[in-house]
Amino acid sequence: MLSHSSSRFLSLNHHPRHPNPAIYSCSFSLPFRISHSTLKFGAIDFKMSSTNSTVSCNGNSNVDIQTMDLGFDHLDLDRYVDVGNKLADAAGEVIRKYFRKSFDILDKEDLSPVTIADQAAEESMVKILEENFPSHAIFGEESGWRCKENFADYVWVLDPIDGTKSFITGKPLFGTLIALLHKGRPILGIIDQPVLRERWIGISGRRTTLNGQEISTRSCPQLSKAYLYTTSPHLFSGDAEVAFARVRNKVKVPLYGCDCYAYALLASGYVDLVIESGLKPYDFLSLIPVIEGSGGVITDWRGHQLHWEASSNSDVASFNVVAAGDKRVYQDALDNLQWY
Amino acid sequence: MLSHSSSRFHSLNHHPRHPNPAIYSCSLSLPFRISHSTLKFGAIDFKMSSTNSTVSCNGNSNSNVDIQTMDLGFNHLDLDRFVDVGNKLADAAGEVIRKYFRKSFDILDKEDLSPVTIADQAAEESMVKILEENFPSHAIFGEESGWRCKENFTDYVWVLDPIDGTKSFITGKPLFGTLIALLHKGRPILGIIDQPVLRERWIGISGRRTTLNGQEISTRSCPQLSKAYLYTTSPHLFSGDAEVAFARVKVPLYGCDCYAYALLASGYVDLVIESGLKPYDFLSLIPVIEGSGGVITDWRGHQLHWEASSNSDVASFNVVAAGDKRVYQDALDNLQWY
Repeated sequence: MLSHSSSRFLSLNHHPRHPNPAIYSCSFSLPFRISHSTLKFGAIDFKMSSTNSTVSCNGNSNVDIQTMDLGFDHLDLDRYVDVGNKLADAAGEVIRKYFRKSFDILDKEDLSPVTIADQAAEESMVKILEENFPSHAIFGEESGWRCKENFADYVWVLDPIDGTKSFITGKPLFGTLIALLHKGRPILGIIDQPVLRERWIGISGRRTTLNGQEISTRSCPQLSKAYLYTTSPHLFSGDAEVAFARVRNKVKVPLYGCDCYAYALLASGYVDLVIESGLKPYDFLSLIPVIEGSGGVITDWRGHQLHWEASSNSDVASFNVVAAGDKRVYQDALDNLQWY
Repeated sequence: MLSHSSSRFHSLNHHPRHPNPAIYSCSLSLPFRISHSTLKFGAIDFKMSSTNSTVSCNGNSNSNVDIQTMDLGFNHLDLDRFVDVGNKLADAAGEVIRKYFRKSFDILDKEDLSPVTIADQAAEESMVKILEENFPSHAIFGEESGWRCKENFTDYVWVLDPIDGTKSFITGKPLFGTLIALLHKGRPILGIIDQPVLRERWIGISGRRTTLNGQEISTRSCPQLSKAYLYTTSPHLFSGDAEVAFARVKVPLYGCDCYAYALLASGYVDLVIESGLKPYDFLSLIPVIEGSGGVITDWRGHQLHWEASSNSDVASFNVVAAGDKRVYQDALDNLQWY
């Protein structure tokens, strides 16, 4: 029923409880995969039920654990992962068709190859979701909000090509981003690089994998030892530029040009810090389970949980994001960003 | 004997003649592969010989023009052999590098605070070994190990950078490159950019069309800066006046190291502008870019030249590369580097 993961599993942040239970987020580290609706943690059973009882999480094996309601069971989660993989497969097929192709082979004169690839990849994903989960809502970067019902507990948030300039210039580091939100909380996140055939999958309560192998962030005690990535210095304006410079001046090596791939490298333990400004929800929601599931932390520049409610009239606000593999360098970064 | 390349082949820059014939550089655009020591260009024969006669190059396909004997100083069987060994070097370095990529290893900081790894050193050693076996009379200039030469003088120098983009390598980003150049009397006649994780290899050869994994490639047209995609590695690699000059050009994309030049040769990028490049980082780019129809010079529009020898200073250069002469000129006009 249960299997142990490797001893390199790092513990995750516990997020503070949010007053609104619909977006309560408790990420905890379980040293085993969830494959059944009753979990054993040490000698204690966690019972999963669909009643709305108070959630309480405790890793101590002698403490009495109350019933925990995640609102879905793990057979459901496996099914979501399965469909998530199909989405990434479908988007990847489309994207590989257009990558490094010249403009003159396309007959839509006013649209660039990247736009065609973006739209076609998103459509291929929407089609699969409409077939498999017709009651779920979808928020696509290209096509916006789509929902049969008025409300939905489940929202898929899609960005078919994050890093369009990389795609346009033939640089194989852009990513397809797929997130599934349950009551506003990301429970599944996928970063897929279809040319290199690398897929990072982050799932609530499970360890993040890269092409099926479990991964982990690495330790990093402070900024002066950190390798930092950001996409471009030109994406910071005004105060954000000044704040970023405070961190950038202290890190060991600042590097540029990776889009979402940098967060994937961080989850894999090759990068210590990623700091960006002006990210859209469809560009960070999928990163959250990936990074948290590998032992890292990802929040806004004030240290608050990144949260965005997808709905038919959502504004697509911009967010400042900081991600780190180690809580110490994360705290050092926040202290230097001084974003109050 | 000869085969025509595709009609997309662009003509190359003709570099001004240098007073010292040892480093005379004439890049020719020939719309066919050289596979024999007598070439037909239109209806004219170029005879290759080893006598030291004046070099004269004429690209005019008018069959009535008289062409003098041209001395490139080596023949094309030699060149094929150099390419063959060049491929072996890239294969060997690639084997080493793939062993260390995304594995944990010690990172040593050099005096200039740039990181170097065991992968750098081992990859370079593997290449040096192959060269010592195949061309014992050639000199070698390696980024890690410096100058190595059995003779007092040599016409041939192999210039090696096992990992250009060490920081990308260290952070698991698969866009660094192995750079291999062969100089003949100071002129790069062979250039290789190899990405061993993606298994992509660009090969540029004097007088031939550049290939990517065996397929011929070409830069793309770009009339002006406003339409150009520009790459540079990092904003921190420009200092003082160079920073000011670069800012006059346009907002760039970042983070590619040598891979940006490879993308330019393939026609996906229009401009690459960098400051402070070392010879082992640009010499291999020259045949790759010129052989695909592009242009690569310093910021004053002068040919990039570096004489490798036992007491070479490893000077730094400002480099601009473009796929189209028009956007190249536009960039120079904005850099205003006089």
